[in-house]
Amino acid sequence: MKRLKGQLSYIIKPLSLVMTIVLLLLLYNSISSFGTRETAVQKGLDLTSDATSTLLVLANSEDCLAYHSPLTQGVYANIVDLNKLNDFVGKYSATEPECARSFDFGWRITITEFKRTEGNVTEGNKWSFGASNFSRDNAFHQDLLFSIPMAVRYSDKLTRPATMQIHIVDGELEKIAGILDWSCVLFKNNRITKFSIQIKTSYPLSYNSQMNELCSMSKEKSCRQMWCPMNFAEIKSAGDYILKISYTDGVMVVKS
Amino acid sequence: MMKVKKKKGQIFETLSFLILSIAIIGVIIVLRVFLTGSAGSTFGTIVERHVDEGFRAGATSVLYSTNERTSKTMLELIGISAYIGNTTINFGPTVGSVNIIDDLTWRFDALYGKNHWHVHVDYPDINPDIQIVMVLDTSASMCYSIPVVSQKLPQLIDQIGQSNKKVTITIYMLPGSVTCCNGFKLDCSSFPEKSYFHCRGIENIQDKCATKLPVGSSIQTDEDYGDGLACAIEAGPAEGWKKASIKLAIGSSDELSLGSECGGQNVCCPSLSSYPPAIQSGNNAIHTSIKNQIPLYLIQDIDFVDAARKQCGSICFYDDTGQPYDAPLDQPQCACTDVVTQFQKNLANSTGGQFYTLNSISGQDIVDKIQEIINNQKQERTKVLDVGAPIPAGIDTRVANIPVPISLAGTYTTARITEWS
Repeated sequence: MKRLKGQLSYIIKPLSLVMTIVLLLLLYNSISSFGTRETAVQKGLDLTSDATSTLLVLANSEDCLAYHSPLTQGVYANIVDLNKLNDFVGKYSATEPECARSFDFGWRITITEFKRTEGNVTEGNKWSFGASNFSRDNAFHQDLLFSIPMAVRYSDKLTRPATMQIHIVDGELEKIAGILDWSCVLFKNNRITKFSIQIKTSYPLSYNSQMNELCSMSKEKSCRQMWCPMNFAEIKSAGDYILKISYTDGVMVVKS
Repeated sequence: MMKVKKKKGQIFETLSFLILSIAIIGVIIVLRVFLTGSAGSTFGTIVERHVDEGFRAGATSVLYSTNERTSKTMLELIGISAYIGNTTINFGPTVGSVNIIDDLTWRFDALYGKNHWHVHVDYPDINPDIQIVMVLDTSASMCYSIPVVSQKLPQLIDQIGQSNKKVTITIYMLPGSVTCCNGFKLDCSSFPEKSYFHCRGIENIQDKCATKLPVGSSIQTDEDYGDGLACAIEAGPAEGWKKASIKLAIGSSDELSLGSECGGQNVCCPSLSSYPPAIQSGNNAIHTSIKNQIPLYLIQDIDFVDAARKQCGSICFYDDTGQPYDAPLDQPQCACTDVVTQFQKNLANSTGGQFYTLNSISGQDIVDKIQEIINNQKQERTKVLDVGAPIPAGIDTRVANIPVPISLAGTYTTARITEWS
């Protein structure tokens, strides 16, 4: 009987040790998955937050589309000026306007107005501006479609209801182009002289100097127009890179 | 002793393992449930605020969109609707009517989707202004009534104004300036001028009217209240017609328009059809009234001494030579009562107004009739604007409270817009 108890003790002790290790592993796993989940939640919410704030800025900032009343010297909530809208459609057919640029995501806006003719409600004019291309395949992470009601002001006598929809995309190309455009602003304002940052790309990256476009060479190429002309050293394969960015004579020099 | 110690040691070992296990599992549960949840809810709250802002701004913009027929914003239209206490606003024959419920529904349906929104606006209890233009016959037979009107009517309007009801009257006197034997002159010189009471000669507004008084020496324009009413409606009161006021036109005379004598002297028109100028004058009044949606109220000012026998006695005034003259009123006033009643009733009934006769010879009676007309202008007011689907219970909704100016009353109400997914 004594011998049996002694043998049991020899089994229980290592078993306890193994169980303790398993529990500690579970704890570690839980902590790390908590971090991953938190990051995922944050990214999703960042995208929604960016979408809503971009729409609000576009519709309410005088620098963007908001109608400025010469009478009140103010703007009205979510009422956009037809002239500014037409101007944006012409100027920003392939890129986001500076007044509401997100440096983390890419987006395109579609405004659809509604009108009623002979008792039927129909879609009227449509306007679209912003990025025309987004990350594809593995470079694409997530996207979101979100809209708010607004109104398009034609004149003192005509303002039509409309919706402003944003298609906002989280992807590698948007992130990298955002970093480079942000650097461009800082360089132009003499805020920095050189700059290094780590990026991750799932596809080779090339730069079309004629079009001033940075392209991700996914199965179907996707390109984004850049703010600054660049001297960009091509990235020939997927991976993590440290970009070394400097600015010479109005041109951004990007080496990896 | 050793055995007991060893046994105790094993128990403690097992217990400590158990405690360690429970502690680790506890930590895992806390991490999973509490920390992730709180992080998510913190970000969620920020995003929710953005979405709320977007909703509020969006709802406001819908109210700033315009109705294409009137060029007015929905905010202005709700303000007018709240002022008149009616969800249908009539903008006259050219523009037509605007139904607020209909206009809000298609907009919110298009933007938020059917059955996903509700708009609630409380309409304050407002008494809309009443504006009256009144055309008075200035022939000598009015010497009974007009002196009393000039004295009592301003008092009546003043008295009504003290009871939270704003009434203005502009009297248009037809051409003529007979002086009654009591010294009263049948023109505006005998009327007081107040902010709510004005008197003008009809000839002063002829240039504003498409319908002019006819010209000719044999034409009795001092009794042409048909053309006079048409012109008064077109020109409006001294302060001008206001938006959303209750607009009335009152005519008072004891004869047919242009006289009951059919152009003759002290003979009564046998029938209305025998005097086409009177019919034309009446039609001018009816046409202008319907076009401007201002009803005609007619007060037949025949001062009977004995109504059953159609006896009117006489009236004293100064004739063209300046001598007092006691003119009999039996012809044409009293004798023509039937044809005058037919004529005046037609004006009132064709335009949504009303026809009145006087009960006594005292001029006070005409003032009492005007008071009756004003008192009858009680509107059935809509007290609340509720549009859209009922707000469902137990689900998350977004609410925006947007102030709605009621500029005509100088006050505000609030549009409560609710949206749900």
